[in-house]
Amino acid sequence: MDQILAIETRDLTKRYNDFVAVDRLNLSIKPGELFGMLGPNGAGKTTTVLMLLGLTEPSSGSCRVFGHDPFREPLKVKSISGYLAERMGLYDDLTPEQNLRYITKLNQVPEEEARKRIREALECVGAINYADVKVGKLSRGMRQRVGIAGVLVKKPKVAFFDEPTQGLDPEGKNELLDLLKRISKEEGTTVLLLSHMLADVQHICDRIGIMLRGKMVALGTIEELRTKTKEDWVIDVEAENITPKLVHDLSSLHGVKGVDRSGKVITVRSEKDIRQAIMEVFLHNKTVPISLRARERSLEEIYLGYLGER
Amino acid sequence: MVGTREVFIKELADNLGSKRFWLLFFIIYALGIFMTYGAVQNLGLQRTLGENVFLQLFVIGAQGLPSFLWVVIYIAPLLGFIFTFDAINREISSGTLGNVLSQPVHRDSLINAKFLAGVATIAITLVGVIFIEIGFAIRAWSTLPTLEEIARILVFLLISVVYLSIWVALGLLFSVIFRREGTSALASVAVWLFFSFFMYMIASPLNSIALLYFSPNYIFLEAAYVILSPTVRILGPVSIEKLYGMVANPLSLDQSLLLVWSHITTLVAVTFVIFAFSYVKFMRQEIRAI
Repeated sequence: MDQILAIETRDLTKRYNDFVAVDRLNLSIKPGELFGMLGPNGAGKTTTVLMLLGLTEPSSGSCRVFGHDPFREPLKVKSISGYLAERMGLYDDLTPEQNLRYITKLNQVPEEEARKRIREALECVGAINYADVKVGKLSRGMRQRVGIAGVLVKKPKVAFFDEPTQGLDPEGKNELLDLLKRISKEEGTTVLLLSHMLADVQHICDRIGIMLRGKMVALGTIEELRTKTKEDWVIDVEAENITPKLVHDLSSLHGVKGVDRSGKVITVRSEKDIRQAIMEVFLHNKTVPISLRARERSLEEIYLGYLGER
Repeated sequence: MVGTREVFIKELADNLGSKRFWLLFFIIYALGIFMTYGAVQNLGLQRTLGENVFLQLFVIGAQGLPSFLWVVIYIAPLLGFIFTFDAINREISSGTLGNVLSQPVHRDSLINAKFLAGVATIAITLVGVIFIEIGFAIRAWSTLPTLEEIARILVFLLISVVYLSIWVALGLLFSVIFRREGTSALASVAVWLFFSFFMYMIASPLNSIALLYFSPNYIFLEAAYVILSPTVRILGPVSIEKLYGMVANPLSLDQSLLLVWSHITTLVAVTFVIFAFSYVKFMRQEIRAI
């Protein structure tokens, strides 16, 4: 059966004069998916979301949110999608409760229903005790929670969170990510999480896309991203008496793509398992490694690898 | 329009609850009441010969004091732009614009509602202060305003709201043009100073009335003065020949209106032109990420 995609973009492009912010982006996200969009600042993540919300006009290409074109039917798209901007956009001189009330009013939620939703949303994010404190007086973490509550009161079908963990302490960060996961799993909301921090997305997202200079350079589940990467083996060797000759011998081994040395540890990146060959090199040089360990390339390295390709 | 009502209600509540409003509200009310009190006490206005005392109340100041009309012309514009000079750029700098626009509302609802809320705030303030003055005068004179006077005061109120809407629209325009709130505040004050004071400094040495017609202040002054003074029959330079044989009767309201009709249409047009500029500029503004 042909299912309507939550988000679909076709050759979506945005140019600012000469600068291409988003370059022929093709993206499909299924309903209920928790999608992490990873990329450094200025990669075009936010611009993509602004186009999906109909706030910025694409230069070319098209996008659909649950089958609706953000430019033909802006109100339709805006009524089913929630957006938490990088700078949350709460009124400092209003309380969280008043802020959320304004949002429900703009969404034409009936009074009775609105009161219930506001309560639920504030309870869900754990900000109910601060419902009557002016937002300007809240801590950054609490404001972030209220911002998320602002998305929740709309009961959106798709929610965009732009760098929601920025400026939070590690504990607050984890709580917030758990919260996003809960929203996605319990409410069935499609969530698009934008971040430049890999740690944010790797534990909770179903799929990850890495964006670089307006292009989606990698896309898939975490497992897929791992296997897709060309370098399969990373071998750490710890040893005393590391001589330049040793390093040279290691790097001239067949299949080795790079050798890095930091202190007593040599890191060898290779196409296949060459642990045995490495041992032989060491024996040749009359030293014995203290330890030799092959490890999987961490996602961090994968991500940094993509960033390095710039 | 979708969302205009909701934004309007919020903006109006914000305006009426803000410190700046209460500050200016207090100044305008204090001045208004003070001047009425002065006029009633010192001018000895009486309705013995059927004078329009309730109208004179607004145009005549006691003993060197300015009149209430003066307050509306020079002080009340502050009330016009004080709410709108940061209406849009503050929403941008605090990031709330993106939030509001990601709700199901049309983009122009926002700027329309902000403009209307500004106009409503002025209207509420003016109605309040004028009613207090009239009430005060009724007590002092033990006489009621005539229908003619009430009608003229209502027209005066309407023209004042239109005139002050120019300043509301001007503040809004600056808030769209300038990214910084400080800049738009200064720009608004600069325009206000120019038309309130510098215009006269330029026009009087040049002895040029024509120049003054470029100032909304002066246009409003003439319009309001004619409406509040039925005896004014003619505007602008007058030759002796014209005056010869003229009957010094007060005009009826429709005749007074006819005299300043062009003034009123000018004020309305200026308001709309300024608002249209800010509207177009706002609608074209790109919400950028980078």
